[in-house]
Amino acid sequence: MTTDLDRLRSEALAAIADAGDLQALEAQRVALLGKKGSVTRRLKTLGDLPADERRAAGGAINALKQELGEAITARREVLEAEARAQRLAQERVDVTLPGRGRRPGAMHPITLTRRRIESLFARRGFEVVTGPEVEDDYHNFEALNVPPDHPARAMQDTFYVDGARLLLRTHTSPVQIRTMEARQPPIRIIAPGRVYRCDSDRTHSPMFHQVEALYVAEAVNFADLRAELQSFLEAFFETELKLRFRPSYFPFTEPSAEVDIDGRALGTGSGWMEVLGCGMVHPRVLEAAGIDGARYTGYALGMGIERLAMLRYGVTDLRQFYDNDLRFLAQFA
Amino acid sequence: MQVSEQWLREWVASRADIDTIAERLTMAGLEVDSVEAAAPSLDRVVIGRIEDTAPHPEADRLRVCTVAVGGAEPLSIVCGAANAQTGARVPVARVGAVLAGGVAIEATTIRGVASSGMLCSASELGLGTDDDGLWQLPDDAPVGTPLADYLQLPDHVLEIDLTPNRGDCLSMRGIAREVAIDEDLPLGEPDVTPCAVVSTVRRDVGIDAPERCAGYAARCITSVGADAATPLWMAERLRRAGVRRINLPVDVGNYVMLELGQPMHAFDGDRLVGAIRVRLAAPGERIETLDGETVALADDTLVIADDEGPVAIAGVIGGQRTAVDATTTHVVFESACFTPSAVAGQGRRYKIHTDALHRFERGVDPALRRPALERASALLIAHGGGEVGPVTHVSGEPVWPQSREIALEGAHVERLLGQPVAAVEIERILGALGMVVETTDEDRWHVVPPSWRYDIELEADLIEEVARIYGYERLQSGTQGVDLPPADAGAAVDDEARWHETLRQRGYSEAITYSFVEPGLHRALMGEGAVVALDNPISEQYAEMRRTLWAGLLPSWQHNVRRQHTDVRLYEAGLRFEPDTAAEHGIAQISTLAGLIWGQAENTHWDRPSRAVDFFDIKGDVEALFAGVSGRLRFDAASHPALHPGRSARIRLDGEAVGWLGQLAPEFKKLSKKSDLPYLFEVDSHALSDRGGIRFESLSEQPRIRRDLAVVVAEERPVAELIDVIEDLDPPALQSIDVFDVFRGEGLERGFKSVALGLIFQDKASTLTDSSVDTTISAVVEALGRRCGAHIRGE
Repeated sequence: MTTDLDRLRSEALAAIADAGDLQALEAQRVALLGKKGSVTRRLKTLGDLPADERRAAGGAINALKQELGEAITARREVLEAEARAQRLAQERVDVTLPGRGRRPGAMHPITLTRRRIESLFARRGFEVVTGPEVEDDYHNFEALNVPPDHPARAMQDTFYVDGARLLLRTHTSPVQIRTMEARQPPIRIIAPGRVYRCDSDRTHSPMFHQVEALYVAEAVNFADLRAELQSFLEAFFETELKLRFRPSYFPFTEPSAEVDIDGRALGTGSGWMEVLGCGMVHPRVLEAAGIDGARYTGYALGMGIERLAMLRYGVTDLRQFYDNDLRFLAQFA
Repeated sequence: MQVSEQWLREWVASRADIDTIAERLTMAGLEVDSVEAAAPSLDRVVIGRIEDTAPHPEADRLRVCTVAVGGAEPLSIVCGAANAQTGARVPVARVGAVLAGGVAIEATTIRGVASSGMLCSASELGLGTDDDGLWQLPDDAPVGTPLADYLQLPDHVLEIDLTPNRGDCLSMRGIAREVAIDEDLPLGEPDVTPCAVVSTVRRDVGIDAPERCAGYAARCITSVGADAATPLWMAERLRRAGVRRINLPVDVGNYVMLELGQPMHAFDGDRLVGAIRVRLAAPGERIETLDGETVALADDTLVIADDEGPVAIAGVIGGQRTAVDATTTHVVFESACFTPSAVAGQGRRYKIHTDALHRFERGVDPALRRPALERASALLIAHGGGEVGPVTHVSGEPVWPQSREIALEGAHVERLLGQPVAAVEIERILGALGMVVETTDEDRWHVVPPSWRYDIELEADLIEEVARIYGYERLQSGTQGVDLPPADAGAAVDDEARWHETLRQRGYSEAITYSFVEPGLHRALMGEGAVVALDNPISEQYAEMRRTLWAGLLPSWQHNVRRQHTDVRLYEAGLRFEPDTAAEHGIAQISTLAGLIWGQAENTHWDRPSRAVDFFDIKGDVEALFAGVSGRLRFDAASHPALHPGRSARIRLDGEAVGWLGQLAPEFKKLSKKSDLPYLFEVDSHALSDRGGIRFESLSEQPRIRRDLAVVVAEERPVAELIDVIEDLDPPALQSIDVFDVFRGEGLERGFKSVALGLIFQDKASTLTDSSVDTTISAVVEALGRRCGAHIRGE
């Protein structure tokens, strides 16, 4: 009996170990421990044994049953792990192949720069306002203290429309006038947009972009303007900057200044680089727009978006902005 | 304005070096663009005298010159210049010299004759362009002296970029005044004491337009040496100021203009007939100007005329008939004050820009004409001889008929600058600028600006002067309690952000094209019709303001196709310009968003074939743009001159036409060698603003039921009509309708198509039963049949 059981045990363990997959293992389990399995059958035939042997034999068979059950479980875990590993191996993808779907395009660097300027000024309380690009002489020049034949007009070669009845605005400053005509201080706006000058070469485009900022309220002064610009330009370029306020002349501001940045901070070489013009709104401009200059003062500033974009992104040729070459645009994605 | 350092230092004895002076001028608002050496290196260039010349044995056009250069043996130099004459004093570049163009002078042999140096013209030395052979130096030029010493080199030239308000600085005097303020130095004015009058020759002057001419002074100087030479020092100063040499009387006039700021004109007195009149041009009058152009004069042009007609356009340019030339012995100098409004616009009208006009446009000091005339007279007789006649002077109306007094308050200085400036400082600055400052009260003054400052009219002008001289860099910076709360940048900014992001994520890149476009393409795209045209376009290519953004996007597409892109997606936002009598100025300036797609529908991918874009790609993009917008979006088949008639649609939002989309019409085939044409859209930006805002609706917990219908309708029946019919029924609990298949062909009659619709039902409150949905579907089928001639496929 014992010898017989030993043989069964060793054959069963070998068969379990040999089971190459879960199906074969299940077949072995049924053959050994199933209702008609060889171990189960032995338990059923215990009653045929003499009573004194029955107990010992029953213990041995039950021990074998348990041992085989554990061996099957262990083997199943091994086979399951192998099967999982195999399935996963089959499901493997080449993760280095390119993903699907359309690559996003890019905003134009002029728009990126403009929106950056808008958002920095919005945080400072400036509302974005726009105006027409085909303008009249009054809003573009006269209301800005540039009467007909003023030499300052020669600084801005003007495109005329409809027999000089109208013109293409040469700067965004007419939006100042339109805004002041429409409301009373406090006024705090920025006016971005396209402007036009009849000039085209490597460093001049007949169309370009400006942003104008205007702040008119009680007790606005030159010191405020300087602080505002220092903080704006440092935020824009994300670095500490040394600025230089240089006296200059614009018909619509007084005092007027041009603002230079020390190029070393931007890595564009040494020396001062002009970035924008600004000043205190000229009393005649306030007067023309119907604002009481005895009560209110204001500052205005204007800058070329292309200039700031070139400095920020290192674009060196102005004309590239208007070629719309996808290789150029893609760099701003 | 070009300013010689040497000349400047003659006016003001500054202790500062030239870079410091340049920096100070810049920081006073006179921007110095550059500081350059006044001449290139003249090392080893000396003054030589040609002792003898002999013909070159081998070359007819060359001569062998024996040239004394002081000290050592004379040099033998082969020279081809026609004016290499015995006795001439000329610059000699000795062996070892390197001339302006980089030419190194070496001992050499020219056709068998040794030559040890080079005789030079002014241009070969980089000292001018007026070349008629060798530079003939004066007879007293010391032989052997380095030319640089003789020309008082080195010197520097400051290039100053003056703003148009500072006409007073268009002279040495004006610049020197600004330099002197910093160090509180006196100005070294030239001698302007009246010349002794030795002749009685005079010329009558009359002013017929006194409001345009504040005064006119004329003087005759007779018996001037014909073709007298301009002294070298004066010629050099003119050269360093960038002024061309003409002849002695004209050079003297220009010199005085550069020195004092008074434009002068010299007439040949023998050619001037009768009296001088300052008057408006008569109808039909013409003048041949000094630059050889004959111009018809407009009747509001101020001229100087003699008995025979105009001899100059006042303040602009002289006339050829009375020009001074090499034969002139009788010079009439004009020193006048024309008002800025008298000359305004004349330069543009006649396309002439002169130094005189530049100064009169900005305002010439009305107190200057007498001293300037004396200065010019003295210089002319000093170098050309002659007999000075009396001055004829006639006054017109004063430039400033009223008092120019301006009230200034210290408090206002502080209000504008954000800090006080001490009273003594204000008084010092204004005084140094030549203003008459009278204290009326504590920190209150009456200020009268000097005659050379046309730009000082208001208190703000004075405050600017105080700030400028005090120094912007010394002024404080910092906000003083002005409250700046963050603002909403405006709803338009958010709308714009949304469309940029939508299009960008769908693969579009943003283009920025010129608002002016090429008329041919423009008209082909939009059909004939009124346009906004430019009077003075930079070229015919950019002559009209766009009525559609496509006129700019299509050339950008071509640019990229030519650069071998296989896939182009571009959009642009900006104004388009439509003539419209109802709009301001008769032009509607409409904020617009447009796009273009062409080429592959998707980026090239490794597991599926690429496909070309079609109508429904761009339609999907347009639908995405409207995704956040409340209102009913519709696309109606419609025709547009730019678009394929079978592939174009009008975009409507709640019935309002807000844009177009479609494929570029086959007529535009010539735009590209590629076979397929792009798809385009254009919408009015206002339609893309989120007008309704977001209103939350509660979610249903009930199960959804989907019913699919395949209906057969005539080919020409738009699917939108089927959907309209269903929506008009307003079936209970209908959530959405999907079009999931359109089929033509086998099993269908020709001219018919099968449209598969998926209807999704979900009730808010209760679970739908099959029978209630069946009832709805029956009603839908019945309505589709009745209104669209549709029937269920297979029935």
